[in-house]
Amino acid sequence: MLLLNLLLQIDEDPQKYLLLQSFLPEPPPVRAILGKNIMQAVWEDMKRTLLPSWITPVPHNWGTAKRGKLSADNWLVIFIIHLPITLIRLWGNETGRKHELLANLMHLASASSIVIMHSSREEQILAFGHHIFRYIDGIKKLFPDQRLRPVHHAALHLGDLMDLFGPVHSRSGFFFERYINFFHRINTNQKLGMCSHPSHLRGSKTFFQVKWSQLS
Amino acid sequence: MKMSTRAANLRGILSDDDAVRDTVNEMLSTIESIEKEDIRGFRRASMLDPASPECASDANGKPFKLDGEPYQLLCDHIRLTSPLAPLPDPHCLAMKRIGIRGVSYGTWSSPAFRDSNIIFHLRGPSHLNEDLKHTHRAGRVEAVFQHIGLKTFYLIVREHQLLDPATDPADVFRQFGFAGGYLCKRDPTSMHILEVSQVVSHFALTEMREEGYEHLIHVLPLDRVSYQISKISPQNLAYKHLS
Repeated sequence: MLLLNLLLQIDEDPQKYLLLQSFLPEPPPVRAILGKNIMQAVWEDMKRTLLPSWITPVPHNWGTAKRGKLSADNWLVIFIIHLPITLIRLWGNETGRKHELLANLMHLASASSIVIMHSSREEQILAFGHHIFRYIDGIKKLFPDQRLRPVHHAALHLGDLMDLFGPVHSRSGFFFERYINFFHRINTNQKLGMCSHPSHLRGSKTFFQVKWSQLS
Repeated sequence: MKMSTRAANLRGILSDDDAVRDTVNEMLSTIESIEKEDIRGFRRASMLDPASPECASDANGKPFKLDGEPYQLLCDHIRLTSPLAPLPDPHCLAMKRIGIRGVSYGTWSSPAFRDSNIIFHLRGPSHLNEDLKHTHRAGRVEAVFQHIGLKTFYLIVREHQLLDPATDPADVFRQFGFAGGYLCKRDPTSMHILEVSQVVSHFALTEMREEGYEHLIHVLPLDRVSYQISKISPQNLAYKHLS
């Protein structure tokens, strides 16, 4: 009964209502950086960009619900090619937060461009370390309410790994995909059960084994 | 599976049987070109294989006679390295594409036009005193040929000129180093003749449409093989205003 009376008093008195509302946490700020206009500009620039044949083009309507998820390679192409071209064009002369966001993105683009190379040198590792550190430092400043993710931590170690083990492609997922593809391309003659070793070729006789048996 | 088996058997016969090879000689070049096609994941292996040759080209080069400005440029190019050398023979073999260290480059007029935009570096006395940042240029491959006598591959390239600070608008892209790219004139002008070692990488070409920028293109060097692209503007590798 007491609670009901209290609620009635709040409903009747707007000042009490406002006072109570002030205790509620504020809704999260709108974080849309790439709005409709920016995305439209990116898509327009993509149409006018001529890429080498070894780069897989990104879907023309990326970022829409209709297109759905993108592959890791698509995101890489977006971040090192399409976003820098459009955002520097639009925000290159801006000051303030937009410029800081752009600079932060370019640190990520620089780090990504360096880390995907098929060779690694000391100067390259130093440059990567410079850019990835600036990028992650920028996240903390630009989005103070956001917590860093484990992937950010992992990215900071990529320079060390390049120093120890060389370019990243030798231990990335693509490396294993390449070997799966290699196994798919091994020639067989459908003579099952004639191969005992190695285990992944068990059940088929390879072209190389046929050639070897002919020679010996 | 049947197709794979038949292909395997055919490859075995073709690699062993000289009589069959002679009979189906015309088919061999087609099969070899199919074999050379990029197989998912294997291009990288060929790029990094130290045993693979530095450059590979079409087997079917078309003979032609080099004349005019390209021939004059070839003469100048050869005289740079050996001033007393006689004038080279103008007979060459034209091809539509060439593979350099596992990366394919094509001519602008061929179906491989997407691979015709290249970053290259100049060589010669007139360029020795230039600022380091200007030794790398962007251009379009007009032709690829092999000199029959010298057995050397050359590329004829038309250069996209860098901006003139006096007349052209400011380049906002340069402040972000090699990852931001830079602006150049849209219409390629001066012609150069390059050896394969002068080719650095491809670049992504974007036509500018904004008012005052219509005559310009954006050049974004793209290279995964070496770290040479960072040398395009080393003073901008770290951002001056953010470091």
